[in-house]
Amino acid sequence: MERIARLGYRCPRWIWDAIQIPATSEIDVPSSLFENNTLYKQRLIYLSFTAEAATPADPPGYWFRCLKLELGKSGFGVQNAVRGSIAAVCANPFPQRQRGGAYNTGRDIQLQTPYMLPRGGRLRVTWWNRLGVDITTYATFVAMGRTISGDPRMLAGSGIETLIAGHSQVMKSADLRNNGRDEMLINRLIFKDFDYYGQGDGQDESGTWLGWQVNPDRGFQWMPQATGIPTGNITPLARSENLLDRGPRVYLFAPDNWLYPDQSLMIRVTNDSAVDSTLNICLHTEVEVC
Amino acid sequence: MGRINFIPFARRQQLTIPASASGRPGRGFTRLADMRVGSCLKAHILDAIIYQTGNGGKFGTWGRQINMRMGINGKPYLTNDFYDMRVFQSGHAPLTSCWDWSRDPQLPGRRYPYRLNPGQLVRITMAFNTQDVSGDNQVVPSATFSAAMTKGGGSYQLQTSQAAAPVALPGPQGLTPLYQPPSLLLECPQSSPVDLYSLTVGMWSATITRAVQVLDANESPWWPYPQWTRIIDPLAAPIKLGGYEWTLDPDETITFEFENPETAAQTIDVTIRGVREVEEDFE
Repeated sequence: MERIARLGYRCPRWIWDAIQIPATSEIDVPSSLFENNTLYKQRLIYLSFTAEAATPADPPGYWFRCLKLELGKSGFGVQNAVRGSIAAVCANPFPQRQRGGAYNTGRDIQLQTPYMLPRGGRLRVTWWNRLGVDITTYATFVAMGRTISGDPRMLAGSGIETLIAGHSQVMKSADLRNNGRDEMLINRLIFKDFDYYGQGDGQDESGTWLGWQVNPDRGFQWMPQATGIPTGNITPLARSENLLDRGPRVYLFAPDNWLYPDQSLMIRVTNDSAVDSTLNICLHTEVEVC
Repeated sequence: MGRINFIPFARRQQLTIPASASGRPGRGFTRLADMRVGSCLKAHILDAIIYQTGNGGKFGTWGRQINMRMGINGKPYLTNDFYDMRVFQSGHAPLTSCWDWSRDPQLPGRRYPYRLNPGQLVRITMAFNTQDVSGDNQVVPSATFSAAMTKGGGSYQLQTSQAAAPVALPGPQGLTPLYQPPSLLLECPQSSPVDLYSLTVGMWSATITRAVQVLDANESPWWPYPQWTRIIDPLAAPIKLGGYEWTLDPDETITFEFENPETAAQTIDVTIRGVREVEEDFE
């Protein structure tokens, strides 16, 4: 039998959930959520946080000063030796992004390793309306990259229909397919999360009004879960004017920090306020598929 | 023996996209001649800045929809369809009048400094439309390059300013009268060549029209006449380019095509910025 070398590649991955944290209480995120249930090791890149609007009111001092965070890994104990508020633990390396047409310029995330999309391959992009009211919007997705030979390449799609609250739509666009002659290396994803014209007051500061699922049509899936991830959790380095401190905020893991198969990330969140909170937590890793 | 130097450049043009009519959107595309970088070994296009004239400034709102696609002249556009221009604006607009041309948005760690050698200087010219030279409205032209010394590696600043009374000149482009102070000269120290990384220009005010031009050590302008302020103080978040894919040969030109679905014409301003790789005699 001929021996065939298995070629490995690196694949981005995002896993998330919305965690309910009652007032003045402490929650351990279920360890199964951020467990590496694949066969491959994953390099930890970031943990991102966004907070949903509270009912009836936001707490005084606002969210990320009221929510305390502890992180650990199974078998290795806590990563940060003290309990810190999300505001204190999470970096904010970039200034406010520009608003264009009421807060709706693109939010982008650079992939740690460019992802190779073969000839004929495509990205399947689905977006969700998480706002709670019907919206008509030009939600737009762009993947920037280049060909193997060094020419610029781009994939893009947009959703231009009325989307009922809670519903999702698959973007139909020929531009989401790599129809060139070469493989394409995708190195950056851009999401335009909300459009002023359709809805009126597009102040989606924390990036939680739309959700996204982006996957290649073959191979290891980037976002394997059934529901879309809030925009701000995928692109936490693009911060908006953030009046109520709902994020996004991001904790950047140190380099060479791995989650091995069957290992899980331990996260404990404490809510110091008198208001119940819904916190969206998203883990971004890079999987070494081989 | 020559060495590679990186000379910042910018190219800019305004174009009016007609209104949609009979159900068809208006179309327009950038003029190739105005986007050409010129002679160099390679050109790194690092970002593009596109905004609608008359909008509310860099942190204001944008009144209308405009869609675009882009590519390199002579090759297919990167997308078949047009997409909302604002999705591409994922960069960060600086809060002050500062242009850092030296970082590649896609390649962390890669730098493109402009090297100045002992005996060389950079000249900055400015113009503005008021002659306020005293009191609270006094205009003080100033410029600062952030730099690093190549010998010893210490940081350095080339900085100068002056409060001289400006000389009135006939104003181009309908700005009359136009006042132009003497040029600012920024000279390399004698002890070491310096690598310049960014430029900050002072004297901004909302009521003063600023015009800035930078002339390099060979008295070549970084961007063509007329003098433009929005190179250093852009009115919109940049569209991040850079990387290997936006390193162009001298005969390649970036091109943008726009689609206007609105019922009124729109005038937009398109600027590309980057660095040119050139070979110089200094080592």
